[in-house]
Amino acid sequence: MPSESRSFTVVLDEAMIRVLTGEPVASVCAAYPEHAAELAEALERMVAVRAASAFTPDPDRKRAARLRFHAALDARGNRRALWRVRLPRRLAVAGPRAAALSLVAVLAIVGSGTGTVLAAQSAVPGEALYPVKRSTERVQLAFAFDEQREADLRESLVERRMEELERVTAAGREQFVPELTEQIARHSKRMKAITVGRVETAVDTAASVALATPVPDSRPANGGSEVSVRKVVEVDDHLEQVQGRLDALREKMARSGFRSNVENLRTALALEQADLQRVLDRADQVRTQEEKPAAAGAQDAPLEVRPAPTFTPTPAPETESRLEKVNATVVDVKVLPPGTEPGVALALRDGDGVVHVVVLTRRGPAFVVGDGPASLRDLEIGGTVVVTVDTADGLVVEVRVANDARGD
Amino acid sequence: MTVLYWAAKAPIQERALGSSGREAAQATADTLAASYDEYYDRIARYAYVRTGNRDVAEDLAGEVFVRAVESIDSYRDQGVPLGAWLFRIARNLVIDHYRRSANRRHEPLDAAYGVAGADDPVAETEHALGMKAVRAAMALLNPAQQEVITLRFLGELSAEEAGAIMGRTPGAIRELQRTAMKALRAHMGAGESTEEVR
Repeated sequence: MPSESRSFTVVLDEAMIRVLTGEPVASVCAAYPEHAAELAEALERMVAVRAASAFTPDPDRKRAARLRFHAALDARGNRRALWRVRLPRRLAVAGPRAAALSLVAVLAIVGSGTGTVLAAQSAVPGEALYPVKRSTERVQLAFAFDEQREADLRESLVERRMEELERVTAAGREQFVPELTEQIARHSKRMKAITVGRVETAVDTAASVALATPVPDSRPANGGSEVSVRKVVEVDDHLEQVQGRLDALREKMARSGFRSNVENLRTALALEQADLQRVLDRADQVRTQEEKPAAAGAQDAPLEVRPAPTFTPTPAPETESRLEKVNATVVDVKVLPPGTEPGVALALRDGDGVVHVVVLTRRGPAFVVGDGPASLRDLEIGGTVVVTVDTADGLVVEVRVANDARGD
Repeated sequence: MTVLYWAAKAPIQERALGSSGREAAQATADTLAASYDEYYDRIARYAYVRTGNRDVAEDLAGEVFVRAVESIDSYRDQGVPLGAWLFRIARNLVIDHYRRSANRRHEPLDAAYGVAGADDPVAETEHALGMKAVRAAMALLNPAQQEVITLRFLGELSAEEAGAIMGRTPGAIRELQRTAMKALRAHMGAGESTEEVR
């Protein structure tokens, strides 16, 4: 019965899509009573396959991938801009407008600092010199190879577009509003992405650096993240202030009966701000975490942190390789930041109060958590681990959680 | 339903813009940026089933977007839906992965490695076992059947999008998927009964 078979094929497809969009299997089956039994079996199978292979991607890795993706997007934009500046003739075939733009871009380079370019700086949309102003900016952006410089530049461009927006609305030339708001949204987005990316890298580095390298005075080396965090606060303030001005503009426009996308822009900026807030919260968290081990150490002898692997429990015969087990207390556990090899950094305090850092990755040192299902999360701060050290070279061979070792 | 089909419309809107190539490429870049969250997870799950390794799957999902940016200009000429384009890149990366690791047989490390995973080790292990059963059953399907199941169940692609990737009509995709599900039923049924005996 080919027709019946085909109709089940179609029904199955429809039913599948309904389940994929969140409808319960039972209610989907009820919608096709003539195929209900067959359908139920197939759909349950699909649900099982999906359940078995479902996993939530690691948010850190996802974020790192997003940054990489946005960096590629940005790089693409910059490459294009450079290409436009360097090879203006090739663009001439794209149309007179593009040719004019590239000519202006070349003029902007050749004549930067000259009267025309300077005069153009105060131009607003609709004025003859305005394209010169914008082209100069594009050239500046194309040559902003350093991320921080690009973010700063975009911040100043947000400010410029905002001023222009205020001026064109005051002059009643509201046809320019959509393009300007679009520009503000675009610059804000990139500015945020760069700033957030930098602070996240700094925070991640601070989190692992505090553990993975010797810190002589036992204070976390988070100077880098401090600088970036300050930048986030600045950007946050700026976006806040821009939103205030947008509110004022929106009121003015409402009075003149002009409908615009200012509201959308305001929402977009609020969302960018939420991202900034999130990264600030995270920076705060890391900072308080970093302070903990330092505070604990302050009561005892000053913390001595050595780079891994430096376990040298007892002097050993110099030629012979010998394994020795050392009990140590877990002072801190940190998952290595995205972009590095997956693993964790452990800060361990041995019986003499000396803190050692052991970085565990899949390559080694070997990490044993016992026979049952367990994971590195079984490591608790304050818990005990047994570290097997090769006394010949001081290398950590194995780290085993202590409750497992006690069972032996 | 809307989620499944809006991506298919993206290139049409783009064509409707009738704008210059540069603007169209920018529009694609913007669409791509906006759909990162939606597609990243789906691609990661697809890659997980194809490779059996969560780490590789996540690397691969990230790489898809970078590759997409690199080939954004060629995308416009192909006229395929955004989802199909991204999954086509993912599929090629999976194939590359297999080629690279053809000489190094290794078991997925996921079960032994709990750092980046779930909060519950027991559930984690059960999940790993379920995954193993699914992969065993999937391995018994023919390549086209495997492909259609992963693209549609895990990638959540429409029949049209899956068709664009596999070079088949949507009707042929639906038919293929029906036979694939039937075959899967036979294989997974067998797997379950042996597990009950244990």
